[in-house]
Amino acid sequence: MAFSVIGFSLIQLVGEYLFTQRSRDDQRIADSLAESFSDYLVAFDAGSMYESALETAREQQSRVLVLDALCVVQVDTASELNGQRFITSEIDGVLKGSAGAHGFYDAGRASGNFWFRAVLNGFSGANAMTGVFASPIQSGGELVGVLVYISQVQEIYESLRDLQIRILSWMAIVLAAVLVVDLLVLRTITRPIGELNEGISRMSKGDLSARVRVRGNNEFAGLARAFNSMSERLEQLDNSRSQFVSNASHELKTPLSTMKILIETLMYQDPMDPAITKEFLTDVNKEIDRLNRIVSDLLTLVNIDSGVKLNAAELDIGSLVSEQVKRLSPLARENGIELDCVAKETLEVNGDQLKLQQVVYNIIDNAIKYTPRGGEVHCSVIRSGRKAVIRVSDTGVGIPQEDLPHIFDRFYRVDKARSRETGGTGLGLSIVKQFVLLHGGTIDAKSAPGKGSTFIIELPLAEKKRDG
Amino acid sequence: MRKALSFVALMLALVLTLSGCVLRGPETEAAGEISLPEPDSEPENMILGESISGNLREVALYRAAADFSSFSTVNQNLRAEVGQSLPEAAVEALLASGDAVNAQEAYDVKLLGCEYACGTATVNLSIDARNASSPQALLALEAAIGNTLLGIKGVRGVNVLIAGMSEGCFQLPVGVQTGIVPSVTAAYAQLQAESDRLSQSDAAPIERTAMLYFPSEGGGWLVPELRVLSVSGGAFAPALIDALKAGPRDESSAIASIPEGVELLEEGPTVETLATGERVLTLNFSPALANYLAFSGLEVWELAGSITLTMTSFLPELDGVRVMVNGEPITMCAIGDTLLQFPDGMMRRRDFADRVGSVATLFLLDGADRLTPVERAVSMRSALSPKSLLTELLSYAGAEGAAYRLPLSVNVYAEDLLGVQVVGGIARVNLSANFYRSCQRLSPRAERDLVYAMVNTLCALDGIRAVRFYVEGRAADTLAGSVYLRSPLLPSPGLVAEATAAP
Ligand SMILES: Nc1ncnc2c1ncn2[C@@H]1O[C@H](COP(=O)(O)OP(=O)(O)O)[C@@H](O)[C@H]1O
Ligand SMILES: [Mg+2]
Repeated sequence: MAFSVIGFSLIQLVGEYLFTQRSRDDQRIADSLAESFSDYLVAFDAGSMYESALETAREQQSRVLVLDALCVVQVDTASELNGQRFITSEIDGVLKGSAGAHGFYDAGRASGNFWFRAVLNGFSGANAMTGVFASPIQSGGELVGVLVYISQVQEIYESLRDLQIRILSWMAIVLAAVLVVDLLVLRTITRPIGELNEGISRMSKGDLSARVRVRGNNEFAGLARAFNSMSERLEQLDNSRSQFVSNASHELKTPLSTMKILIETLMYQDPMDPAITKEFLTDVNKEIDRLNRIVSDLLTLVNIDSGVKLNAAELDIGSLVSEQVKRLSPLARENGIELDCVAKETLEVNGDQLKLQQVVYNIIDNAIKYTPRGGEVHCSVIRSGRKAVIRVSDTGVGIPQEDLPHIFDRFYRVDKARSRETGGTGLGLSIVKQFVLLHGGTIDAKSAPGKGSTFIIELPLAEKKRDG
Repeated sequence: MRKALSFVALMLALVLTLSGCVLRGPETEAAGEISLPEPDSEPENMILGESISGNLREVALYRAAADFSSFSTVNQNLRAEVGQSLPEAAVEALLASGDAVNAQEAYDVKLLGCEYACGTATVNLSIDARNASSPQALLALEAAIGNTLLGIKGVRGVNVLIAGMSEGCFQLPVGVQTGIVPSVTAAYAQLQAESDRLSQSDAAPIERTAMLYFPSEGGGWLVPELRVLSVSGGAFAPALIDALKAGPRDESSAIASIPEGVELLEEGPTVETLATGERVLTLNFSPALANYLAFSGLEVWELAGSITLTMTSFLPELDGVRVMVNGEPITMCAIGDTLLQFPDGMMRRRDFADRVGSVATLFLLDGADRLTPVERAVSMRSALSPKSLLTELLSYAGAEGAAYRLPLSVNVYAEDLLGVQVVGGIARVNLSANFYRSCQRLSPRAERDLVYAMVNTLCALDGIRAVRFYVEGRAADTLAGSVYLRSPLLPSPGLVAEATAAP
């Protein structure tokens, strides 16, 4: 808006300037002709006036009229109006004492007498802008005639129109640009925000599958991408949560239904061999133990999920591993498995003793459990750079390649029957992993089925110790 | 989106509104009452006949120094009377102050006549001019006249005769003076050298300007024309005959007097001196000339006059010309009702001097209805008279279908031109009520053409720069409504078609 106003005042200004400039030039020509014609007119020297007027008219593409005091055209460079009386408001002004007057006319639209229109039309063609300049011809202080200078200002008018067209087209371009920018803003800002908004509201209604289209590579695209990964994560979490609940309920249900069968059998089989009864009750007890384990494992996990606090202290991981190996040695012996441990260095880590004990215990426990009689389990603790590396390898059944990525999932077991048999809950490795992560460490498993598995835990060494 | 569209629409509307304002431009409509100025009232001025007054001209009169080596000038204001040309007035003024011609010898030279036609002046001095003490003195007199007249606007050549004869110098024609002679001593020396050269065989040709006289196109007049001749071996007469055969430069106003194919029977025509002491040139033409005279419409007097005037105005001390056709001299001819007789076939310059005419420029409508300057031969007096010229112009009134005409009814006659008065460069033309009535139905274009035919014709005359029209002595607004007559009208040089230049 401001632009258009500026544009048009500019045209107006330039136009005014051009017309004033032209008026001044043409009036000057008229004045100088009038001055030089004064002697000629008094001496009735038509030839000299005509020659001189014709020269000017040819040079300037204009028309010159010399009028006497009675407004009779005595010289006309177009030799058309000779003898006619001719008057315009400009001439009238000069007759009434003005030192010079001018006006602009559109030949096509001018009003006035026939001859006046004829002058304008005959001279510059219809619809051409024409300037009429009048200047007094004086001799001895007396008005003896009027010089009328008629010039074509069409070219000024045309250049103005040109300018106008240029400004108009500029404005059109600016308008188009505004429109395009508008569309772009619509595409890049308004629409992505709208879509994001929609996605969020869908999500808040429980539809975690909501995703936003990512366009381009700007901040909005980043936001959309973040939103998408967030909702993906949420969806994953939601999925694993329901998976967990269904898994957990299944795990809890199995021992309960076993117990129910056993107890019902005891209840409704009247004549019961006490030996069988005892066996039954032992089984029930086993199931209760199992339930107990599951529930405590679940509790541990729930604690982790709800942000458990580490009871951190500096401890020597080597002796911690050695301790657990000692603790499990009876079990290994019982299963006919050779268990050893190499931990020469003292490697201080910052950690929660109980939890790290549980980690090491679980890993070695697994190794013993999934290694047949006569196998071997080797443990070692070494320093590698700034980390302490705990390695537990066995010569057991191993883990098939396709199962390896899942063994740290909750309730995941490669061979359900065997795991059950050995009293596994399928929660051990996931607890281990959570604890290791809590300590800022990593855990990795490698395995060759039938040959054995190796679990590697890396824990950062305590800074303080190193500094000291 | 809708918002954006409405914004665009708003902008467009604004643009169009503003553009409308600007495109209308700085036009200013004539506002208020505009009125044409009122002329002062004039008393009735019944102009009758013809009068010229207040036409004073300054002319530089030349006077030779005592040793003829140079000239000095005296400016004098002169006035030509009605029917008199300014050159004539100037020669009179020059001769009136006798010593202005020659400082040493004041002798009584009279002006017998001055023909002023077509920009040439032929000054005929009395025989007293021969009393000059020396050839240089006579040459000085001629040069003083020539220089003086050539200083007058419009004069291109001056021929000085004594008792109707060219004087010559060293038996050689001096010819027409066309440029100012600064020193008589030098001019005399050159003439002497040329004379010496002529006596030698195969000399270089001598250049002279001759005054040729051609019959006018419409008949009735012999109009002069200057021609530069280049003559070898002193054969001036044949050269003049050849020039007359070649005809005038402008054939619209004059014609050749001797037709092609007509030859001189004697190779070198000679000048013989009669018992009376008169010198006569005999020209014997082949018989073809007789046939030509019988069938071409060229009158005998036109042929005889053309030859006589041309020869006597140029060849030195020639009293007359005898024109023969196949040995038979022409002894008589008729000019209108007047019969001229030439005893022994001797034709003199004075026999034809009053048939010397001039050419006037009349402005008439041509076949394409364009105002055109037309050259017409008229008497020398008419060429100087505004009233005569207007009368001549009126003779073309209403000539529908003619090559040239005036857009005016046929029942306008010479009597409808009541009078012309020239005062201070303005010709006041008094028209009759009949003239005025005849103009009432003219179209604006025809009215303009009629008025400017008169204005341009009159303003072609020396001393007239504007024309003011009256009807029965009273000022009139217009003849037919468009050309305003209460102001003196200046000629319109641009109104005419490309002029056919007069010689
Ligand atoms: N050392 C190992 N050798 C072979 N398989 C193992 C080993 N450790 C773990 N596994 C596999 O990983 C599964 C998950 O282990 P875990 O979470 O401790 O559950 P659980 O021991 O209660 O079965 C086990 O069921 C077993 O199939
Ligand atoms: Mg386990």
